[in-house]
Amino acid sequence: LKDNKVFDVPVAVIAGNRPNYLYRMLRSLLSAQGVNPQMITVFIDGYYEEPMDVVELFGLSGIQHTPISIKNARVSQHYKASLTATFNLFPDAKFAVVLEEDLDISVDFFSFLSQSIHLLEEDESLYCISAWNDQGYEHTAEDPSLLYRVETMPGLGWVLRKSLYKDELEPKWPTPEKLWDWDMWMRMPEQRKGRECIIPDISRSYHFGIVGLNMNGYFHEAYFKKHKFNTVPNVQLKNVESLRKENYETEIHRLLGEAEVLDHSKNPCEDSFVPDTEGRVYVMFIKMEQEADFTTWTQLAKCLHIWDLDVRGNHKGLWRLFRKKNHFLVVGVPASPYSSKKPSSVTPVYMEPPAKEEGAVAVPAVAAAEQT
Amino acid sequence: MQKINRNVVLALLSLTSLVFLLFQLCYYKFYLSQKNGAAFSKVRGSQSGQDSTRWHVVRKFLGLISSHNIPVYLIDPLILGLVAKDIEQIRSSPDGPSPECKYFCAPRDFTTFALLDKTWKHEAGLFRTAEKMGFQWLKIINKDPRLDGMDDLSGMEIPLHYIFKLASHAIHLVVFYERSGNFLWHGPLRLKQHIDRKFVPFRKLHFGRYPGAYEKPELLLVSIDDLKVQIPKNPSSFLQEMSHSRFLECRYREARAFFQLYPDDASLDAVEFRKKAKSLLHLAALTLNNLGVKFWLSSGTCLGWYRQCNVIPHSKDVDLGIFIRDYKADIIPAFQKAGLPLKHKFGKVEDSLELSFQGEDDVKLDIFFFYEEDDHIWNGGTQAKSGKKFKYLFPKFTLCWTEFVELKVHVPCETLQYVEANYGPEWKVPVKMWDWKSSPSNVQDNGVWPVDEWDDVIQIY
Repeated sequence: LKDNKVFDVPVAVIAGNRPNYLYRMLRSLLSAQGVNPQMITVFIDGYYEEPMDVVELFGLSGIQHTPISIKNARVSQHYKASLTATFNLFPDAKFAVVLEEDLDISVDFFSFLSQSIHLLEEDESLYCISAWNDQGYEHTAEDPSLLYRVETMPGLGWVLRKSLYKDELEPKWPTPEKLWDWDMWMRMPEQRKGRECIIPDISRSYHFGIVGLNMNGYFHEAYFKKHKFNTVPNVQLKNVESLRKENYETEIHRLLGEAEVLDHSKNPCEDSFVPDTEGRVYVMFIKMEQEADFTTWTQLAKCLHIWDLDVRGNHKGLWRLFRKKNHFLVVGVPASPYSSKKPSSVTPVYMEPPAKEEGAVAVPAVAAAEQT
Repeated sequence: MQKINRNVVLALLSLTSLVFLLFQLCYYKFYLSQKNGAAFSKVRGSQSGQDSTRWHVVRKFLGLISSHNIPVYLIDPLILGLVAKDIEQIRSSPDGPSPECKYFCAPRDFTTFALLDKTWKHEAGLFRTAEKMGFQWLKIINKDPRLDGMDDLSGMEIPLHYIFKLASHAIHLVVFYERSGNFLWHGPLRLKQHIDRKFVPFRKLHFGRYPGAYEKPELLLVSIDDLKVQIPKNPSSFLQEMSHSRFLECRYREARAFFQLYPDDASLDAVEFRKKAKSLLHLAALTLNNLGVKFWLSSGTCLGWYRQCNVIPHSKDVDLGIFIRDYKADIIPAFQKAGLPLKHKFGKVEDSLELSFQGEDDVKLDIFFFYEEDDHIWNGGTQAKSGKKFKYLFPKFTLCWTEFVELKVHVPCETLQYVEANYGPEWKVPVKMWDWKSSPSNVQDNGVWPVDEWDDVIQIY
């Protein structure tokens, strides 16, 4: 990989006892362009022989951690031990890549990071760079060269800034008796402090794990199986500088100016809501009373079959995705600062959660499958 | 016919023997020059084969490592000592041919080199080549101290030392690792069961008695005895570092045991205080290092390092110790300039000097000056309102390096007796209410300042 800016960034693979997953993951990791095996350390949560054998098979360095606590607290203690050890082993590293054993890594993973890492270094308003787009499904992601800023921390293949870890997170990492999920903790406003992560439109990692602490077959089928994963090598990211704080606002305003407002009398869940075009930019406005009002968004996410378990992918009340290969912007009115772009003639769509008895949504004719 | 044949045979025989003789002469000359080194035309009669053997072994070793692109640098104290004397000359004529073997022929059992671990690709080919060249080698590995911490991690053992033996000389290659706190660390040399104790005279090694800590050196490529080698740019300061390089790891196992008995304070206040104490310590270290003033972690800060490998959350300030002989008047203005104004000054250089600087919010930096007597060391304290003097006695101690809150700092090597002197035998038990006038075990009344001196010895800002 030419001019590889992440050649010297340590890679921490957080592993448990799923050796077959680890094997699959390491194979894809070592096939990524620009990988530096010398910087990879696999941290195994427990003294299991098989994962250690897998690590040795690939000629990588493995470290075993005596597990403490239980359930999700055990996982969070393992993350803490692994991250602290990573920065101790590579004291002059300014970043660390954090991966889990149940991820496929795209062939251009390091290329993607090499082109974007300078943003994490220079822009204080950034929390992380993640390879995962929570809303990037096969039917909602199109452009491998596109990046977004989002107010969530997706995890699933991400870069952690050393100063963030050493100065902020490590000193107050949850103690072993706190049964919290480390990533939920990291997403809390006390930790995130209003900072954002950079994600690609098409994810550079694929979550294949079906068995795990928080996973099961149904959950995987519903939310992970149809996630879009980039297989194109050497993608040149477009307009990376526009991801800086102020530049991004300029870019959003430009996009909103260009976007065609859709017919809000139609049912947004229907395929016909979006015209049969390609490559156009459309915008829709939904009701969002305050910053934390995600009632309509959640219903929309549900009917579009994207992530709806909590709110992800938003940037100041704006969501960006693709529908039928057109760029689709969703603005929450009036909470979003972009509400000003709404024409006065348009009424923001309001969708209520269905009453317990029926599966009805505000607009009739449900079950309009968006999925291809 | 026979006559002619005989003459021809005789002529042929003479020719053959002449050629043979010439060949012998040439080979003899060639062999001799090989043995004594082509470069040294003036080989002194007194120089034994031994001396040049050392030079040859070093040359072979340098050839070995350069063929595998391994960047080593010379840290041999004997040779660097000689180099330091001629450093100006060596620096200015980097390629000049040497008329005689001045450095690498010096009598010694080992030649010591350093290797920074992260610059090396760890391929096994090096050792195969070494064996082909005639080297016998051995590797010393041990646990990676960078995995030590509050968590129990175990990884592969790491190489700490290599010995390459050839003929009657040996090369000692010390492996250095970069640590948090921006310094280099090397491990001790401990022989495991299976190692042949007679392989080389281990006791004569210069590195390996203790683990050591060094600043990252600037290197210089020089030509010494016609061999190109990297050396520390400033060999005399490197040698200085060597004599004070002993490193102590923090006692993480004991710290974990401590936290089992006395769970760590995870409150927001504790986290905040630790953050402020850490940045205050970093700033103080930077300021004092720039002044060239040696200091160590003292009192509560030292106890925190020794007992729990962290800042004690209920301690109110950061405590440092400085030998009074290292006092510089520049200290006060330097801290002022760094953003730490002087809060109070007690005592005077001649007696019981104490400085206190104001850090962020309520966190103070207390600097205690230590006075050395024949058989003990003491520092003084002053009670502002009464002019009472106090004396804190310590058994004599030396200073070692350690890593604390991502910083390379000094602590007393004899830490247990230092901590026990200050905090008594119950030092393992946290005490939240500490009165500096009466709580320490080693506190003694030391009279009162004469009133006419009060303006001088009690200054509060």
